[in-house]
Amino acid sequence: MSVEITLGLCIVLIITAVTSLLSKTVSLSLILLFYSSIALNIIFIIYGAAIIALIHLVIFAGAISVMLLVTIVITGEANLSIGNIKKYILTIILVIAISVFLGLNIAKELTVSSGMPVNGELLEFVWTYRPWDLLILIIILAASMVTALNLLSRTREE
Amino acid sequence: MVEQSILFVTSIILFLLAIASMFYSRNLIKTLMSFQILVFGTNLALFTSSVGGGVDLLANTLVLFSVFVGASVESVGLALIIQIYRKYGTLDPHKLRRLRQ
Repeated sequence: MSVEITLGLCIVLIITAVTSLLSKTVSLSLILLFYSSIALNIIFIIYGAAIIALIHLVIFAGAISVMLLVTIVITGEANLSIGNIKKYILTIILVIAISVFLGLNIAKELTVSSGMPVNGELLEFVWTYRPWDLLILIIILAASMVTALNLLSRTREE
Repeated sequence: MVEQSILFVTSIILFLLAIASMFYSRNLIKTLMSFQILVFGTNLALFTSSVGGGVDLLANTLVLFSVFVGASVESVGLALIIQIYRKYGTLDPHKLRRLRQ
């Protein structure tokens, strides 16, 4: 995969994420978050992780976006206050400078993967070698579901 | 190797930006959006370790688990936000602190 495509997608991802954080309008912020999710999914797809991209898309661009929208409708928060904009911009510049410096230094130490075969084997791998992790994941999901339901159900005092 | 560096730098940028935004934001919904970007950064960093000669299945598995755990945390966070709004009528953390006292 060419470097230019990766670089372009990463720039799109950073710009959408930053604009989403800086935007004062809820709808724009949500739409940009959705686009940043899509950019990340395209990165996953071009590097051969189609299943991850699919699950990521369904969960973050689908379910979580809808839940965020429902929360915004319930709370009626039309404008999101982001505080001091100058502080934000200074932080963004500082963060990008530090990340480029640190990231390029650390990336030299990264090892290249062994190149195992990919397509369609991820779920089989999880089922065969990581069953306990899968079980813990199911428990976490169930616990979060119960907690969310419990929080959303009205108590008798209300 | 160059692609790995680009992806890694991007993931660090996303991660640090999200943390900075979580500190500065004056709205809990915005904080949760920052958390989502933080999860994106984490997922990208985990995925970067698998990019190279092929795709490492273990790294992909970790990304998969990270996605599910992030979604669980975010759903509980959204439920908490709704409850906080019902009880206090605001989502500003500074006002919430004053109301609690």
